[in-house]
Order: sequence, then C-alpha cells, then structure tokens
Amino acid sequence: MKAKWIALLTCLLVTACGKQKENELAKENSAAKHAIQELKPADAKAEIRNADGVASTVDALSMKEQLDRYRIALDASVNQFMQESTSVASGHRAANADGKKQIESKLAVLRAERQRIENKLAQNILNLVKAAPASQDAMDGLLLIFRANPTGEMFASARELVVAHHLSSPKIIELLNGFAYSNYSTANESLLQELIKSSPHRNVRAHASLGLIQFYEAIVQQPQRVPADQLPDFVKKFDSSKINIQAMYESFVEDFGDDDAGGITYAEYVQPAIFRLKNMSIGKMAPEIAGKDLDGKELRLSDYRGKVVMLVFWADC
Amino acid sequence: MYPHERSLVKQLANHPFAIVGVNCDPNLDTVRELVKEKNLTWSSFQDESDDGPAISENWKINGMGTVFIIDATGKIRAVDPGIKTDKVITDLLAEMGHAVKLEDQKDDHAH
Repeated sequence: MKAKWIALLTCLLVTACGKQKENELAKENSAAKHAIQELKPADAKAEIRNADGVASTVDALSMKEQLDRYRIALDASVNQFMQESTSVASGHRAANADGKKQIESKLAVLRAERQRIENKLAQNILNLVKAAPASQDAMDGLLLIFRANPTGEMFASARELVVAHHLSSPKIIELLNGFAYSNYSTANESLLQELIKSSPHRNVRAHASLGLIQFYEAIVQQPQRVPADQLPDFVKKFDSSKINIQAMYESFVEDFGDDDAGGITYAEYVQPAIFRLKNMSIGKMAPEIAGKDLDGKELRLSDYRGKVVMLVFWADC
Repeated sequence: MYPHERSLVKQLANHPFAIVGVNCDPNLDTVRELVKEKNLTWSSFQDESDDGPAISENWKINGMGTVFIIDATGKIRAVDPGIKTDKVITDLLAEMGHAVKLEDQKDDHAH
C-alpha cells in the first residue's frame, strides 16, 4: 500500500502547496542552478609551474573532494527537477486538454534538461574514477553514476568497473535497488548471479537473490519490457514457462528470511508478493469482493460471472 | 487511462464484458464528481472502509493502476497486461464465441 499512499500524498502536496511555495522554490532553484553552473571541470584542476616555468596541470583536489562536489551538484539537479516539475504539474488537474498538453511538454523539457545535466555529471565522474577505479572513493563515485541514471553506454561502463573492482564491497547493495525495474539485460542478470555466488556479505547475497527474483517476476509478468535485441536469450530461458516464481520466493525465505530488509525481515518483506502469487496470479480464481459501489449500493465481483472482467484498482492521481 | 476504458466499454457494449473498478480515493465526493465529469460508466467498489483501504489491502495491491483480467468463470487470466490488454480481452471473448476486433489503442496504461 505504500505506493498508493505516496501517490495520494503527492497529489495532496501538489495541490495544497503549489502556489504558496512558488516564491520559495524560485529562490532555491537559483541556488541549485548556481551550484550546477559552478561545477566546471576547471574547478578540479589547478595549474602549477615548475622551476623552469613549464606549466603542468595536477589535480588540486582529491578524488573524494571532487566527488563531494559532484554529489552536491547531483542533489541540486534532483531537487531542482522535483521542485520545478511539482510546480509545473500543479495545474494539471484543473487544466483543459490544451493546457494539459502544454504542461506535459513543459515537463518533457524539464526531464530532458535534468537528463542532460546528470549525463554530464555522470561522464565527469566516470572520467574521474577511471584514474584509480579500485579505490574505495571510486566505488562511491560509481554509485553516484548509477544515481544519476545515465544513458545505457555510461551505465554499462560503470557496471563493468564495479564488476572488475568492487564485487566484494558491501556498498554494492545501493546499485541493486533499481534493478528489478530495469529492462531485461543479460549483463544485469549475470551481475546478480555473480553476487549471489561470491559476495562475502550475507546481506548482499540476500539483496541480490531478491533482486533476481523480482527481476524475473517483472519480466515474466510483462514480457513486453524485454528489449528486442535481448529477446532471443529471453525466449530461450523463459518460454518453457517452467519458471516458478513462487517457489523462488519460498526458497529465498528459507535462505534469508531472518536477514534485515531495512527495519523488517526479508520474510516479512516478501510476504505480500508470495500472497499475490498464491492467490492472485494467472490461473487462480479471483477472490470474491463484496462491498459497496460509489453510490453505496451492494456490489459483488461474482455478480459478473459469465462476463470477461477487467478489474482496475484506481485512484484519481 | 479513462479514454481507453471508455472506448473498451463502448466497443464491447454488445459482448459479455465489463470493467469493474476498485476506487482507492479516500474522498468519495470528489470521486463521484469525477465519475460524472469524465462520464465513467462502469461500477467501482469503494475501497475505503471504516478500517482503511479494505480491498486493496486484502489483495495486497502494491500500486494504483493494477489491472486483473478475469474470465467468465472467475479465473484470473492476466495481471497488468499493459499494451496487451486489448488482445487478452478479445482472446477471452473469442474463447466464448464472440469474435470482435477492437480499434487500435495506444498504451494508455503506462503508470
């Protein structure tokens, strides 16, 4: 239910806070822009001259110090986007069709601008960490790159560096968080499998195991998310439909159920997913719903036996 | 999402098909207004009960916009079919001897 409440809350916030905050936001935005603009590569370098007067350029800031700056710029970009898009989107509900289109195109511009800034940051960070990719600081930089959500090529370069130098780092968990929601890719899949096999940290193995199951679950349910170039491999693996997600979850609970999933155990965390697979997955009888319609009249799902039913959980957000 | 749903209901009016909503908005008045304004012709359950959201809690729904396609016997045949929604529905109708072709739809279901 968390997603629902977040969605509702966002709705409320957008409508309630939109206007009053605009001035405040404008001020913060200009600060954010400033933080980003200041971040020129020149910042990271300082020119020194040796005794013969020959110029040479060295890094005046350590990798860690430079990364701290990139982190600030990335946070600023994210905040700026959140604030501007919230402010732009606040009129969406009341707008007519033309107004909605305008708002959507403004949002697209904001998204493109965010992508441009964050791609640039990711590229700068990548160049920086390549100098000493095995260091602890480099791992922090690589994680920043994933947070910046860069284009495929940069994502792949960063992932390669993680695989080459940081497979045994406990921090790798941060990288796994978005995996279940990304498109199917054999590279992501083998990284998860590698971690399950070889990470010295139990929590990383747990996280990776769960990530792999969620990854399979998402693509089995929605095969349209598999990119065309990955399709042959996907079909080879999943076409038999012998893949049993529920059994995977159950064996996961046996292995890692008592481990910490951030305040609750993994057993508690995956319980809703197992429940859905047991009761609400393809081939199961839909549980009865007996309740009231929007006018307060009695309504039952079984009233619709004999018809094909599209059951939609919706909220106006 | 409403245009797609409206179009399905319209095009399949003479076939054994229904959309059933579970509305998860806490404010019933706003929803009633919206149903009128957007001309939503299908029935929806109220999810809110005195103890909070009941149906979505029971079904362990993890995000709004979740869709189940249920066949005439009450069996779940698809979960979040996304762009395949129309095909899943027409296939099930075909199983029941109702051959029907739907107009092409864009994916209105991205959520």
